[in-house]
Amino acid sequence: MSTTSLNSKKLILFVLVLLPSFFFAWYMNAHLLARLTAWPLNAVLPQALPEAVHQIKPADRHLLMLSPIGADPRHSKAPSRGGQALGINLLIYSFSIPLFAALAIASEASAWQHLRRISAGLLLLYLFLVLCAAIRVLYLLEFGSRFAHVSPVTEQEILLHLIRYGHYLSVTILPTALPLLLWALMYRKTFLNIVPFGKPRESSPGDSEAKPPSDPRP
Amino acid sequence: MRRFLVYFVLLLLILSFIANYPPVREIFVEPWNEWLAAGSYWLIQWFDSNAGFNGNIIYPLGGGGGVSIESGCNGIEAIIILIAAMLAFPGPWLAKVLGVALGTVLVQVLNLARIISLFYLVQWNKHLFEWFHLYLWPTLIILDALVVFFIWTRMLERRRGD
Repeated sequence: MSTTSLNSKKLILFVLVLLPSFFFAWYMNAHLLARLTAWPLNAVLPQALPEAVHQIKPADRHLLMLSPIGADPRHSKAPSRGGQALGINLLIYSFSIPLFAALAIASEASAWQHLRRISAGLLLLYLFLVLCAAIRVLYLLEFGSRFAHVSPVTEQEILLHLIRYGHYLSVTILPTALPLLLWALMYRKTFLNIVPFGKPRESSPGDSEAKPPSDPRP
Repeated sequence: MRRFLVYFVLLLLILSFIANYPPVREIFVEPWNEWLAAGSYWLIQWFDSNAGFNGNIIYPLGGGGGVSIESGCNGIEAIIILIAAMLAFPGPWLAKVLGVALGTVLVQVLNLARIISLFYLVQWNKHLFEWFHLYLWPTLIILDALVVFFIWTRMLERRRGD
């Protein structure tokens, strides 16, 4: 069995073993994440879109957007002063966190390197979460059925397409691709151990990175 | 490796834009969802005749919740990530084409298992259904794509060594 196949098997098995406990920890702390995400959004969006967004506040593990735009009488969640309250599910963006954490812990690094890299990765994923929630707000305002015929964010076609595309990316592609990308960037040594980049490999045990063909070392 | 990551991100953005483009959704993605529903229904029939399907929806004949296959559940996003990784990786084009074809099949095999499991979970426990549907299965599908990519690069390495 080659070194690369052993490394990849170990990594995937380790990730599968770690995932349940990391998912549990993520879910138990999701209400804290909701508070941390609501804070910057509530600082920016009501200022940027005062006619469309009144407040963004945490609601258990999700966010609630309060909009002053008139309520649809068919929906019962309108706050008493008028307008509407819309839920934003943060978990569909933040589930990238346990996957990144499992890949990181399953990789080779010292304790200090793990601490640094995982902290940086979590910070980036938090920023990604804030961005996705903001895109979701814009998407709901522009394309949500409760705001039909209103277009409270923009009327420019290109911006509408960007919001739609950004929403698609943030919901379907990025929550799974981003943790892999961050892991490959931050744990390059482990990644290169498993994925050889076009260089013939010797199977010596001390060789943890691929060497160029002209390298004179035995 | 830097070039690989840059190409990977660019290809990811381009392929996801194409997949989300309305004519592509109409001509390819929506029929794909219906084929998945038909394929899942056909597999379910092997052990449970109490299922029906219509378009992209699979439902229990006795009533209760069914599942509708939409973007995010059709495996296309995991395949896009896999295709972007394989095309960005240095190697012969024939190997990339074969890798994409085989990878698509392997991802969709697990995706069919996802759809069938969700079909039963939604009838049994809606909270568990939401967990598996939104968080666990997408994680497992992308790990499947990652394993396929690792295996493919290992096969390329062996060919270079021969």
